[in-house]
Amino acid sequence: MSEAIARPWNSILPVAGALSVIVAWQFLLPLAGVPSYIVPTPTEIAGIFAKESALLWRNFWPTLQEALLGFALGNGVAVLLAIIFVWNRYVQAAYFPVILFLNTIPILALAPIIILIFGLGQMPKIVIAAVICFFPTLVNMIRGLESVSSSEKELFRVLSASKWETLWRLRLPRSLPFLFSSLRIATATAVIGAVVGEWIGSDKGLGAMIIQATFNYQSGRLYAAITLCSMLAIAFFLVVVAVERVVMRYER
Amino acid sequence: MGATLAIEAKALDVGYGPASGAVLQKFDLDVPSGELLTVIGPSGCGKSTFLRAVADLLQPLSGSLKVLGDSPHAARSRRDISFVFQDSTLLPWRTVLENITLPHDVGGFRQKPGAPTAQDLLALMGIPALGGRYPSQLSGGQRQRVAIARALISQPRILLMDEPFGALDEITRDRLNDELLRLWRETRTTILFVTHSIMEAAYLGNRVLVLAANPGRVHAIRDMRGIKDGRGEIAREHPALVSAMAELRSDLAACGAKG
Ligand SMILES: Nc1ncnc2c1ncn2[C@@H]1O[C@H](COP(=O)(O)OP(=O)(O)O)[C@@H](O)[C@H]1O
Ligand SMILES: [Mg+2]
Repeated sequence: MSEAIARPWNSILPVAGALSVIVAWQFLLPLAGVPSYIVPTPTEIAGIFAKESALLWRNFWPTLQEALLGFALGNGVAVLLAIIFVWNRYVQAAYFPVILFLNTIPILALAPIIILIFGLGQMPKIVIAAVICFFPTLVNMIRGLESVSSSEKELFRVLSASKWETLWRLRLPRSLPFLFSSLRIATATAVIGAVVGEWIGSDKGLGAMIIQATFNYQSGRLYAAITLCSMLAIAFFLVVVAVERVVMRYER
Repeated sequence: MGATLAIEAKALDVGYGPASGAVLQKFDLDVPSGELLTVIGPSGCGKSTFLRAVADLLQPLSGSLKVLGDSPHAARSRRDISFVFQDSTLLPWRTVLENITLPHDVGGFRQKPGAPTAQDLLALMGIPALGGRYPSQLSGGQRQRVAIARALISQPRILLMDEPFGALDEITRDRLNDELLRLWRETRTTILFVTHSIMEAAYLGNRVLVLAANPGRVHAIRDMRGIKDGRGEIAREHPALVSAMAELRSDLAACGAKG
């Protein structure tokens, strides 16, 4: 391992790195003869943002909603189920293997079934986003709830703490670092889930826009939609990191 | 201090389930109320196991174990027993004061009238200004002080300490030993103190219980009161303490302690 990067450089270098890639993209790709209907330059994409902002926003909101609700649903169910599993080992022994099996089905194979069940509105997109968030959080949350040391368990037993008190005052706070590391990753997967859902059957949302723009060779619009997807995921990620900072302030 | 026994074990067998056999066998021990008993023995001989049995964390396989004349379960339910672990076991998401009051938040237990407050106990442990800190902001010695304060807040009649200063540097350990002695003098709480330090065992104990391994049993009980003053104190360099330590060392060698 090399040594850590000193103070001003650790924030300057990533920005400089990103800028250098954008500059190279802007000037080197056209020089290399890559046509703009395959890869438009950054200024062309920025132009689309200016010209077609109404269209972009109209498609941004549904994706944002689906990703947010899918994130809440998938992670919420995962946390609840993890608590039930840790509360009762028999339930865990019976049903965890079933979930393990369901998790091996690729989301692309599952998506049409979800759309069959939930129709063509926003609901199937929310469910698809929820499904891909669900499993990593379930596994992490179970591990987090079980990450109590034997002396912590003994402390609570000497204090005659009830099972509920041990859950609320020991296991849940202990699980938070595990939960947040899973939630951070789930921000990106929730957006992916919403977009994949929109690919398969939708006329609005960034996913639908990506498909339509691709078929119509509107590469500027395609790249603008992709940029919005990643900005959505990044913003979402930063929100989760901010919440984590507040909740986990005790860790200095 | 009456003639009551704080702990009375008779032909006690303790283990982790009947299948894996007894760790402690035919264990006999009387601990009078108000005694500070230190416990040494080879590692794995069952020192922690004995404390767990007293604290009702482990059911005896056979024999009888009385705590304050009652079952360990009854004593634990009345909060007559507190436990201090080697790792301080402070909850990192609670401040120091919140850690000390944890016993009030669980087990349906409220503060007894006239009992010391968390702030009183912080002052007693010599760290009155640290109440608002989080455990990650404390040194190892400060954490153990907080752990002791938490153990004291329910005013236990028996304090079980399992190598509480084992992870501390020697200077901090010496200081905490002296403060524990002062605390014991002021409260006359019965203390069972497990250690792997011969020095600590001899310096702190009214008596020293030496355990032998495989199976865990009483090897010897050495009385230290003869060499100490009325307050239970002796200088660390005192020749009588040095020779008592030599005796304990040969006890340990005789019962097969390695290292
Ligand atoms: N939770 C447990 N389950 C099964 N066996 C255990 C457990 N804890 C300790 N033991 C066994 O009991 C014996 C005594 O352990 P312990 O009381 O921790 O020793 P000491 O504290 O004297 O070092 C050891 O042989 C150990 O392997
Ligand atoms: Mg031990």
